[in-house]
Amino acid sequence: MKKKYNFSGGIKCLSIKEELDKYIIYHIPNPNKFYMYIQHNTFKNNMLRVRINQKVLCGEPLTFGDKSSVPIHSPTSGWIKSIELDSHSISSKKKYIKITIVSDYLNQWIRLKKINDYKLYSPKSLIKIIYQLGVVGLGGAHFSSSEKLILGINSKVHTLVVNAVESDPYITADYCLMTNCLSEIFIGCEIITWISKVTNILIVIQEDKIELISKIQSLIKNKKLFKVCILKKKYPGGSSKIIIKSLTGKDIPYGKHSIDIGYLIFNVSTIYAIKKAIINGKPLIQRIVSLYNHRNHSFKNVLIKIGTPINFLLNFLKINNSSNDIYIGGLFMKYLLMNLNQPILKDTNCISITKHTRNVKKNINYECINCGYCVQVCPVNLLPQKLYLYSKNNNHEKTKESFIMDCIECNICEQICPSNIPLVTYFKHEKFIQNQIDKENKKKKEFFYRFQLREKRILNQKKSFYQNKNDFNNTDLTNTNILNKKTNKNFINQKQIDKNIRKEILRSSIERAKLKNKNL
Amino acid sequence: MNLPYIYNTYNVKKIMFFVLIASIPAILTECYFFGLVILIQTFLFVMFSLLFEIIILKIRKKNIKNNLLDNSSILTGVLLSLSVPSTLTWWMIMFSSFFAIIVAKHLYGGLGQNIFNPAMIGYAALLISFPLYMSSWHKENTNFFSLNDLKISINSIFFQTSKSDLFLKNYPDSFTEATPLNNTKNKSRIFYNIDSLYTKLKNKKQNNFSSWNYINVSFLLGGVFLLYKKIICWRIPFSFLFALVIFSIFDYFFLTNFIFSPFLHLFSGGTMMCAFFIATDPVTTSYSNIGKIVFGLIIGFLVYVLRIYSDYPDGVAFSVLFGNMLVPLIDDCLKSSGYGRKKT
Repeated sequence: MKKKYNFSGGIKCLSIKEELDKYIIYHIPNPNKFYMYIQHNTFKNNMLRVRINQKVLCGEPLTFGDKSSVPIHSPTSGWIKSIELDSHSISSKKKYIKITIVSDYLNQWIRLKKINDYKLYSPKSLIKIIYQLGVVGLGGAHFSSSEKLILGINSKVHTLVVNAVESDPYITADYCLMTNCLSEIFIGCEIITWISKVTNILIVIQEDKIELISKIQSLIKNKKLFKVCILKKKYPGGSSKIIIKSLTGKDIPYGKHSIDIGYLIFNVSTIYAIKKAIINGKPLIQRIVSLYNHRNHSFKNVLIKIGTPINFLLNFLKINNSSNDIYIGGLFMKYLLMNLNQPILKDTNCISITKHTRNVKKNINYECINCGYCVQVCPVNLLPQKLYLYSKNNNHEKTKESFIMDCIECNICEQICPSNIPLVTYFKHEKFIQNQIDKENKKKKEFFYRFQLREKRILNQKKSFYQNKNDFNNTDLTNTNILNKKTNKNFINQKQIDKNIRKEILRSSIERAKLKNKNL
Repeated sequence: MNLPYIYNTYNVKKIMFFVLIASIPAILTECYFFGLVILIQTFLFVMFSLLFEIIILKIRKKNIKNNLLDNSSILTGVLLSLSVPSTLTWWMIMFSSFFAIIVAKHLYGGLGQNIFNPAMIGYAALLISFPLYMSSWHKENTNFFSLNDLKISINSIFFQTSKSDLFLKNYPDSFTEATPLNNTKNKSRIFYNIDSLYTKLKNKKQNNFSSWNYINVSFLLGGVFLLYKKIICWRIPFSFLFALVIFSIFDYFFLTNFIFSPFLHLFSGGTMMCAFFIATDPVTTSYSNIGKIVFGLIIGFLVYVLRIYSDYPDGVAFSVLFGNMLVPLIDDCLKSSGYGRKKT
């Protein structure tokens, strides 16, 4: 047996029922309308390339991108119906530009630039192609992978970590992709090695996928670069911090990425997208989403275009909307969908369906009995119950001292808590408050700095006044030269001035005392 | 809130219920050795603690149904009845359960907020105020579950027939202490050779002497059940027993004749009950893993010291209470560092 890598904390889940059609990818036809969301921010130059009633082809870029946000491509050929400001249900406070595209069911592609031999190109030009074709991290971080590669070139990277671990226990999208197109993923790995010159590649897989591991090992035998690492099956294994901790035993320092230690981490589906972008020339317009049904523990993996509304997908698979609650995300990190017209974004892994129940079970909330289950389970070494007590009593200093900002919101502590306390909602609220306090502190520092400058200026004025008391009549007060540092430096000796001021104060106080004595 | 797919998920209610189940063998063995008094006593303890709980909840204007059904007050009553000797009158039971529920638990702010272990506070209040009753146990029960036994026990609890009469009539050879701790201690003060005492006891009445061994073993069984269910952590009981054994061995090798043997320390008095049922109360112990070990070591040391040098026969209750006092200090000193930061 090979060594199994492990990390402290985490949770085991019951295994799922195996089905025959689990790893077959379903293809979904084009819907009538597509909805694309574009980040809209005044500080970033994210400009539109299209206007209303314009005809677009499949794969045509809709925007000019910025350094942090990549361009977005149209998933079908058709007409642009409307462009408006809207907010989607994930973050209702932010506003996004929403583009609706009506498809003409023809799927005409624009001309694609295919590259057969990528070794003829320099790494920087390859990165530029990846950037232009809109590849982002598909694991859920939504971080643009071209920027990651640039950072990897600048700071020397020695290993590439291929993340094939699902973030939630019952998602199978990554596994499905691995079984169906393994050879393409290997080509993608080789492209990344050409770009960033890594010396070894680690493929991280959980232990229960035995067939895939043996398949990969037989393929790897001749290649020296590759190596397979087997993780234990526990819940928060998908996060990059935890993967690196379990592989190397090192913690990533706070506020830094894994690149700073020397590890590049890419999700499997991102690598697949990079391969498609460079060798086939296709932009990122489709991804694999896994459907999870709570009622009978069943799965479906669906190849779907980004921008198709979820309502269409459910209608196509004949799933009843009225009797089900539909969530985005897996078992642990999920949130309820209020608007079913919301499209699939680039970072949606999973759609989970539960039975709609009006009479929710009465979960009695007891008080915290200090049992310590959450401490033993926490993957990032925090103390959730102390954090809960501090945040409940509005003790913001103590919460900061016990590192609330490190919490990754994995929801385990909330699930395992015997008194049913909604811990993570407390933490989210507390994090919001901490951010506001930080902002205020920054403002205070700035104002204090300005105040100090003003004090200095006034003091200098006084000094110059006392220094030039003798020739007070000669100097012109309105002259701005008094405030100038250059002129002041010439004739001010600081110690002398201080002495003079003190002498003056003493003299005046002595005079006052004398006056008092006389009066008595 | 708890998902059905995770291993080992518990409620507060479920945790308390499992501890109650784990204490059943101990109740049964005590019943075998001391008669039906034990059952009546536990019933009374539970009823009084529930009654006080209802009264205080009404005064505090809280939801009675939710707070009563979390089984914690029942558990307090059962643990109290297991720790006190078997012939208390009904008003003493009321007195101790009043201290346990109202003073120790609800005056500090209810479940989860109390600093001291409520059962041990009830025991300590009895021990301080009625030392004579608390140090006298009646002898082993010969006619198990008979009508006579029931009569005697009801008499002793409700009508308070004078203690000396009762035992002198029925058990003239009574061995006033169930735990041999007090007896041996008194003898050891005057440099009595313990080995000869052992042999005497073993020859005379083997059953009586070993009754507490059996009760301790039954507590151990319950503790193993709790450990298997992962309701309690292994750290506290093991560190506690480890410290007790280490200190007693250390002394035993130098003064073999008039110091208890480590075996006697382990299987007499309330050692096993303290290790698995009382010291592991989650509310009053430290939350971090290292803190739990430190807490166990402190209690083990205190039990050893109080047994050897104090005037009380068994130092479990006081040592647990002293340990509870030190818990906030331990928690404050042993902070775990955050993720990816240097330990300071």
